[in-house]
Amino acid sequence: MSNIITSTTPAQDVVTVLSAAGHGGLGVDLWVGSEPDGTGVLDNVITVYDTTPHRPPEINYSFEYPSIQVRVRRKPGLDQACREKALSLMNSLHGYVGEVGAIKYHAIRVISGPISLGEDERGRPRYVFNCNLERST
Amino acid sequence: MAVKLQRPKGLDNILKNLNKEIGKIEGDVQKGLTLGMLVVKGKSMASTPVDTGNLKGSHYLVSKSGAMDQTAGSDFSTQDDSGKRVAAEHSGKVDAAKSRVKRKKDPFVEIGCTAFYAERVHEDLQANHTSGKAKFLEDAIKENQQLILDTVRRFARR
Repeated sequence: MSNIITSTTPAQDVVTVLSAAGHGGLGVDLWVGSEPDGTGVLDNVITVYDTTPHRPPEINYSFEYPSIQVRVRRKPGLDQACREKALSLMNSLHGYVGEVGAIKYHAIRVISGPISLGEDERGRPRYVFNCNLERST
Repeated sequence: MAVKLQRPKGLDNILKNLNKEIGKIEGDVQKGLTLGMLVVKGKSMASTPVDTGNLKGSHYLVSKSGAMDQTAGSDFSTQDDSGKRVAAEHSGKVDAAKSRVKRKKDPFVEIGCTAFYAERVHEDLQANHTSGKAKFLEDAIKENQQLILDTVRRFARR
């Protein structure tokens, strides 16, 4: 029987991996699914999104092939620092093998990036990169 | 035998697997590959965010037999500088794709968007679109891998 993993999304787990690698804390520097904005919110944030899986999950056992996107935003004028932060995150994730809670990550591969999204309406540079994952219980 | 994606990027692994599977198929692969990718192009266009319509219209598909279904190019909205640039660059970029594809020995298709801002729109998951979505081309390929392979197999057997 199939056993789709429902406990945490890949983006949530990747945030856990990034936090453990010293890239910040959830809800402050690291966010899932929606980049925060507004007063009291840091300019320097990292947001991880779940994107369409790169392959369908296996049917007879619990093995999934999700994809994620990581997005980095920095203060205005810090385009180079933003790119470098994206590269640093890419290095932290590319080739990652490990466990997050009860979920085994067999591989995280950076497949593209860093890609510049230019500046937002407040002049903050943004870079993204994309990863393919393989995970199971 | 290959499918190449020209801007936006991000599908290397998927295309590698797809190309590997296509490589196993014997017979006339080009026709099925072209038809399969035409479906992908249509699905991608259907989910492209629309403001002026230029990004949607800048989709192209070039196969070994030339540009296919090239309905865009003369129909861009040129009311602003951005639109003028997209219109001015479109045919040159498609011509460049044609010469890239022409040099390929094996069955080959290149699909993409010529709009200079395609990559940013494609990758910006945070943008609010009234219609369409980010990752329009990537998702069209991811969701139709089996259809592409089935189409290639069907036409290769004829």
